[in-house]
Amino acid sequence: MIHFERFQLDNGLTVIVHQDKSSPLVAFNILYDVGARDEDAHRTGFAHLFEHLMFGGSVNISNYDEVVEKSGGQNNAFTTNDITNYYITLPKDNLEQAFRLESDRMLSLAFTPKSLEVQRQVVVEEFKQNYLNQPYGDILLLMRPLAFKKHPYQWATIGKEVSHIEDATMEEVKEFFFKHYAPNNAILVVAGDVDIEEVKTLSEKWFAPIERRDVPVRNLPQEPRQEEARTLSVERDVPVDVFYSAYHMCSRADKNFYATDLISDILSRGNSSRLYNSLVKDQKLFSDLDAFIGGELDAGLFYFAGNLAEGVTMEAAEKGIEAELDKLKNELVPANELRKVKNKVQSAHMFSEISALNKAMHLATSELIGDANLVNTQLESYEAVTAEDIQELAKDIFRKENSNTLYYHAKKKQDDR
Amino acid sequence: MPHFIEPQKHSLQNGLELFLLEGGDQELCCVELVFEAGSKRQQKTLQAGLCHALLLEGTQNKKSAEIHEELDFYGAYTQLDINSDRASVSLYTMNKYFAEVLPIFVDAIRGAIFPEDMFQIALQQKKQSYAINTEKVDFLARKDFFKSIFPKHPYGASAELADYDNIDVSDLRAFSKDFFQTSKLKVYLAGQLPTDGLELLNEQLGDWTLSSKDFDPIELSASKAEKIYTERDGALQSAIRIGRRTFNNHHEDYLQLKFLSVILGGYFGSRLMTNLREDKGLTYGIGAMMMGQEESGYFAIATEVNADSTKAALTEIYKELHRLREDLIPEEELHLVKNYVMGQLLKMADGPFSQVSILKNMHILGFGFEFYDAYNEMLNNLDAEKLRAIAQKYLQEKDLTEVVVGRI
Repeated sequence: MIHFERFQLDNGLTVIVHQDKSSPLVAFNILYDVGARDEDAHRTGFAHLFEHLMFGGSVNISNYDEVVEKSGGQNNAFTTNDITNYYITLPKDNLEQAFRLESDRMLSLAFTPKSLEVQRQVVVEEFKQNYLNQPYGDILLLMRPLAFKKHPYQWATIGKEVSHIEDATMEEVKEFFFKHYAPNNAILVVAGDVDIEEVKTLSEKWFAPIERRDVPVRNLPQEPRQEEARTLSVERDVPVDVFYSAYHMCSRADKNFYATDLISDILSRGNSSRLYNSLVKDQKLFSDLDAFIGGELDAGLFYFAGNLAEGVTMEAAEKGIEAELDKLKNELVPANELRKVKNKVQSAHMFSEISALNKAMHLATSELIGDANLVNTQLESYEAVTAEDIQELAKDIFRKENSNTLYYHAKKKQDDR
Repeated sequence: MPHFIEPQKHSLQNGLELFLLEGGDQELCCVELVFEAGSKRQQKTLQAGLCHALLLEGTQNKKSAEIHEELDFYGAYTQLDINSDRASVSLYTMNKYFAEVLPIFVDAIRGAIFPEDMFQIALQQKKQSYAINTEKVDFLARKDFFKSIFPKHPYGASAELADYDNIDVSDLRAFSKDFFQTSKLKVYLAGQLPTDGLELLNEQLGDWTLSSKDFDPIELSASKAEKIYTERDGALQSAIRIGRRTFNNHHEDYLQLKFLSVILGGYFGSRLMTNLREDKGLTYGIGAMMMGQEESGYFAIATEVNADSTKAALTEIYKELHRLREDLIPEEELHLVKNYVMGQLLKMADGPFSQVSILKNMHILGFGFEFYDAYNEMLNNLDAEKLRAIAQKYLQEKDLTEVVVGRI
């Protein structure tokens, strides 16, 4: 059970406080409700580029990182298709520094041309390091536009192409900031050995002076139900054939989310899972195979990703996965197996509660989805899933016409000796 | 400095050492068995790694699937870690199932038979990973670097493609017999001690026959600084590794050199990050590290840079090394990095699960938590002159190996 207190400032900033006396460190996590899904289709990668610019100096503090480091803290941030999340962990005596730093960034950035110029280059290098100069690095860049035709999930957080980042202008940067970085578009969580009244006082002192901003209501094009199977075949200079497929699934807030998550566990969590036992170990179709949910907040994707064993064709590999999916559709999951994946969820949940930062992030995303208290009720939601729920859902998700398949072929080497 | 939990040391009836680090709010624990079975003990490449990877994959009485089915049913997790010095196997479990899970875990390890089919699967997986890794500039640079600084020593050895066709299951069984089934081991338990925890551990591990054999250090042959370039057409980034062999934590200069590595490239605002990333945008990231191993240690700078700017990046790295050798580190920077390191230690040592991994590594190096007293003392007596002298002693360009994979 994670106990927390929640309050809102007049400018709309939601603050959640969780007391955890077991650690001398405090986790300070601020989530902005903006991600790659909020980008213009011609300026993709912007939310993530922006995350970099947030470290380039704010209106009154030019050296964000230096202040954190002097305070004995560590900080980082990440951007997803849905959110941008910033966090600091620091000794509890220095908590006010985190308030000072984050409120100043929320107030306004310094917007120096140098920072924009350098971070554009840094992000281009990140693009190369993680996507372009890596074997298989472009898989997600191929999968997303295959699966999404309308919804902005069709591009990855890094962006569709390098030029979108290279061409970003200061005007666009400023516009993006005032449109999305606002107290009424953020959730702050403080977790650690803190006093709730102290957090209230500090929140008022540092964040209350920031004005509420005009944040546009999100109105994204919804992805129409997919009625025809889609495939894409590519050839690359890589050593091993890879099979990748994705099926549309429900949103994070949907009641079916928990059953869908358990399906991925039944198929692929741990060495006793179905895909590993059947397709890796027994039939030896794959050397490695994984099923997982993408974790998007809007209706997202259920993925399969596998490296083919030597000498296996794509067709045989695909048939193997389909046979496992048919089993899910045609037979009820045995009680023992369902108990197993639920036990595993329970233990994973307990282990995740060891870290104050984990808890802080979890509270923030839960609040965004609808209610911070989901951190406490989700175990019951998993418990409530039945074998019938799983069968129903499997039938609905794993329809052939709902599939998006990428055949990623290794180029045959001429001089293959 | 972190508040370290006082480890409680117990001896099981066979003399096996058990270290207990109690704490935490959840009714959870982690049991870790640490074997003297690092890859430096192997006679053949891949032997230790494959043997270790297959420790939980089948006994005379139970197939791999049954073992994992049972462990998963109780919500338990296992984790395998191996490096050159040690191999470990960990069990993470809810305390309410400790009595059920511990025997499954221990039996699997003690009765491991290394079934041929599981061996073939693991071998194919590793072979494919190797093929994929050799497409990565970073992997290739690391491999060349360690080979250069540790010639003819296991710390510098790595597998080649042909090695995957030159190993069979009997090699694994032989290794297991010498290094897992009868080897010295240490046991760690972190978290809350389950009900009857000590009795159960004694029951499961107390009759294990243990060798008291000590190992001699492996001879380190002389190495000389090299420049190794591997051209890769069309590479978008070049991987760079610059560094040298040093020494381990017992050496009087270890802590100072470690501190220098932080100044140079050990945190976000470090000199290399500030120069190459935040000022020039040549890379997504660059780091410097000083690592101690049981028998040696190394200092290394690592990055992947825009391939069109490889030369510029090298120039800047050497400039920063030059500055460390020539100029005194300003008081303010010393102060900042001291605070940063202190904070980092607090985070590294946050809770019993984090502390146990520190303790385990300290034991491998021949210390306990008291190592951090010396660390603390060093941080409280930072001396810019002394640090410059250390930089002059160890970070001369002529003594550093330079590896580039990509384009020059």
